[in-house]
Amino acid sequence: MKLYLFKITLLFIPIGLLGQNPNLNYNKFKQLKEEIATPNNYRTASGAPGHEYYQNEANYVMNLMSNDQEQKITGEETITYVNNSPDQLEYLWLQLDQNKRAQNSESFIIRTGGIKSMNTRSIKQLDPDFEGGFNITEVKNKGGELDYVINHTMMRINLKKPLQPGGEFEFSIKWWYNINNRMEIGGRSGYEYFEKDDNYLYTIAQFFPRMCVYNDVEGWQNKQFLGQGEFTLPFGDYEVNITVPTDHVVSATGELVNASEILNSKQLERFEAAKKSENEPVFIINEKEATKNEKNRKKGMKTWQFKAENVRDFGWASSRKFIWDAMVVKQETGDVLAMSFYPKEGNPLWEQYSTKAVAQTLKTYSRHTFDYPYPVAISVHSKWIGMEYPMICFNGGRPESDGTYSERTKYGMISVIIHEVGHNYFPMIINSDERQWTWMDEGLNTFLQFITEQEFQDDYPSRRGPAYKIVNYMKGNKENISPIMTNSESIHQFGNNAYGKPATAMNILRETIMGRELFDYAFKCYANRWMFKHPSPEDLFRTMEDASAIDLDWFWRGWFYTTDHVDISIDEIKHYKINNQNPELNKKDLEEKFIEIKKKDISNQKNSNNETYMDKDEKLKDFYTEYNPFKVTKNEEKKYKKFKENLSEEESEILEENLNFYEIKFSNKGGLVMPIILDFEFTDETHEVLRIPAEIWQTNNFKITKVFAFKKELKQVELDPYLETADTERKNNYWPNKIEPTKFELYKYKDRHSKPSSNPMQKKSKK
Amino acid sequence: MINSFLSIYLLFNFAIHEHYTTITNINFSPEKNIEIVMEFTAHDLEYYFEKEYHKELKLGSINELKDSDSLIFEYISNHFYIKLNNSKITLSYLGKEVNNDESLLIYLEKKSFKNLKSLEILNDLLCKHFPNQQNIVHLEGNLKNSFIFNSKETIHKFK
Ligand SMILES: [Zn+2]
Repeated sequence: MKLYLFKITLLFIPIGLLGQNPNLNYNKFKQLKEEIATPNNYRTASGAPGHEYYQNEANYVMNLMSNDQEQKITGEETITYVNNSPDQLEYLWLQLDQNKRAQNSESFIIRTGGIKSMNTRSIKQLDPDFEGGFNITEVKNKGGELDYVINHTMMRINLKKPLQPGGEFEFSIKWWYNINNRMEIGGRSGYEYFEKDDNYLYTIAQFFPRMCVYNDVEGWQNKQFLGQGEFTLPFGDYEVNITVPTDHVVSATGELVNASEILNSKQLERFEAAKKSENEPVFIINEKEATKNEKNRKKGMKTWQFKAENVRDFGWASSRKFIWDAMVVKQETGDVLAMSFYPKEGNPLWEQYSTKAVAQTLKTYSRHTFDYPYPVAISVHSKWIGMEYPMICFNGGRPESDGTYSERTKYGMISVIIHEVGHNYFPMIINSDERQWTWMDEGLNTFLQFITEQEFQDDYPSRRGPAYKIVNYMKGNKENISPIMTNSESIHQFGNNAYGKPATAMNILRETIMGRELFDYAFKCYANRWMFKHPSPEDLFRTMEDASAIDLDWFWRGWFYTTDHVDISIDEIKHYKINNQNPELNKKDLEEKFIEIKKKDISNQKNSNNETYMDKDEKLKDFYTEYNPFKVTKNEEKKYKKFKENLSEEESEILEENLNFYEIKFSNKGGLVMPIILDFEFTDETHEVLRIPAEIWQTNNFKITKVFAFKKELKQVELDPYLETADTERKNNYWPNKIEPTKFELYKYKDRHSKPSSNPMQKKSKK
Repeated sequence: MINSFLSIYLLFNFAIHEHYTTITNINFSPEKNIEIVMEFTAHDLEYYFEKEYHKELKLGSINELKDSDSLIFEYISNHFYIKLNNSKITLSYLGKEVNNDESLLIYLEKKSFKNLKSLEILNDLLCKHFPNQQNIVHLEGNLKNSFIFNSKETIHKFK
């Protein structure tokens, strides 16, 4: 407990200088050479893949059997692993994510917290009664059984002979596991049970032993799966056969290969019609048909065959309850089918918005990156969550049972669909390492999500993106927040750190630091360079600089490597005019001031009508009685003439202009250097906005003085007038001082009776 | 991954939910009032009420629980207090604001406080069901400072 902290903090602002060795360079513009990896033949100094860049490949052929009675999956897979690296591999690593649910899971053991913070649920979890985790029944290749070791969520295959560079290794695994009830014990995947009609809706992922990534940055990325840091996976081709009860409808990563066997002729016809429908989704299975189907209990099983090329993972969903609609999104490089699968419980929201939100996402994201390279993009309804896989994602957003919904529910659903479909770009195609850096996919994705939302509708209530929305997170005590460049498992305040702050930083980079033109080109360049590859943070940092000719080291340093915040203050403004040496003007000026003071002087005012002694007695007068000190003398005139003769043409022009000079002192109280954006308002009420790049802080990071010249006289100055820098303290942004009303004051004084209700729809239908 | 809906599960300490944060601004105004704005993520609080009290708040909808304001205030009173000079102050509830971007703002107030010699704040909002919950408190005015509360550190004292 910090008893006296609040007194000390004030004294030591600006923070960041404490305890540092004074002989080292702590300049905020110091180049990032010490923080980021040295460029090499795999990754160039320009941020592109190097001439020796490689990535390994994992191809899968899988047969899956879904057991709807026991909620269990049984599978067998044949993996062909291709070693494109220049290295010999003595062993291979696979990830067994389901083992996070195993009863001996490490994630139970490393959880901390006292007894006080426990409740019945957490007590129960000390002895989890759900038998989760993979049951591996066979691991072999053509030479027979393979030797393997399981270390929690990681499995090592011990090779008899090292896998040589350029070599391939084919092996197969058999397994089964119990599917978790997502509604009770949670999970990115699992099932939801619908009691009313006795049906299950499965959203299935992380369901098979998956190859780890081996690369030049991490070697094997086999950091244990603890729950927060998501996945990192190699690209490959998948052939997956999913056997489900015959009346189930399956949706999955990839193209449905045996549509002609699986769908009836009516459905096939509609499916073909959807491939031509650009404006409205076409129902392949409509609500009426789905409602009928969910009452089915037909005997027998059916196998749905899917094929996906160049994907890093595979996910699928299955239920009797699915309504299915689709429409086409046209691109130069090929058509994409935007599709949705949802139970009737998702309507009316889902039939109206889901597929269209998918289509809008593809359009906006592609403009900022590349054409969507896969044949389908699917949104599956899944209460409460949002989770992404290649081509398919599981999204929440369920109306009330009476079919109405609040505006909040609607925007929540559209946002989650945009976000999860957006993940196709980051990290499914631009395949960054989520286990290491959550922000590389969540932050960049949230940034484009914001742009997509704003294109979906004017004034869309985006949760993240605008600079002012991150202020409350960044402004406070730094003790429990961490820089963006923090490993996924060690992040405090996950949402703000890995989603909100990097998304805001990218938005500021685009709108304020680089400008849209330079930013958009560089960002697109990053996307195209690393499309279907594995970028690391340096590759993004370097590309953004290399493609724009803007040194951004200070920006990455401040926003990504520190917890500094923005607080720039206008400390003082002084007004000056150049003395043009013209004795006439100077003296007139003096005279005016003299008269003004005389006029103001209270005794003078009261005495002005009195008759003085001198008024009565002429003899008191002398030379000085009539002498006007403000009259220009001959001598002064001569001196001025000489002065003017010595002036250059340029100098005399400046003098003629009779400019106002303002010396403004700024200080950087938050530590994070940013551009200084000033709105000058003049006495004639006109405005001039001036943008000074952050480099103004280059030589002194904390205090600067700058002089501004105007013909007009200043009335007031506002710093950061468009709320674009995330300045946390606005009180010191004005001259003269101006106090903005607080949120509290605004609430208190606004008419509380004019609050709109957020589900007026329901009101209407109730009437 | 995102989660705009209700979901946090202790069993696997599994974060489909990425928020886990409340932010409270406490302003000791020059007029000697304590002005408090508390920001929740609306669905966090809704989920919490479902788990803890089996009540669906449905904030901002016509179906919103009639007594949602008093329930929320009661909940806050049990999980948040300010002690000034060793005695708990009584806060009054001014109202709330539910926004479409999921932010839920609660306005609380205490009129005319005595001279401030010591201060103690308890904040364990939402900690019971969300083990990763972090509650930020910013003190505004002369006391400018901020503190983070979580399930392990629920009280901060200042003199
Ligand atoms: Zn996400």
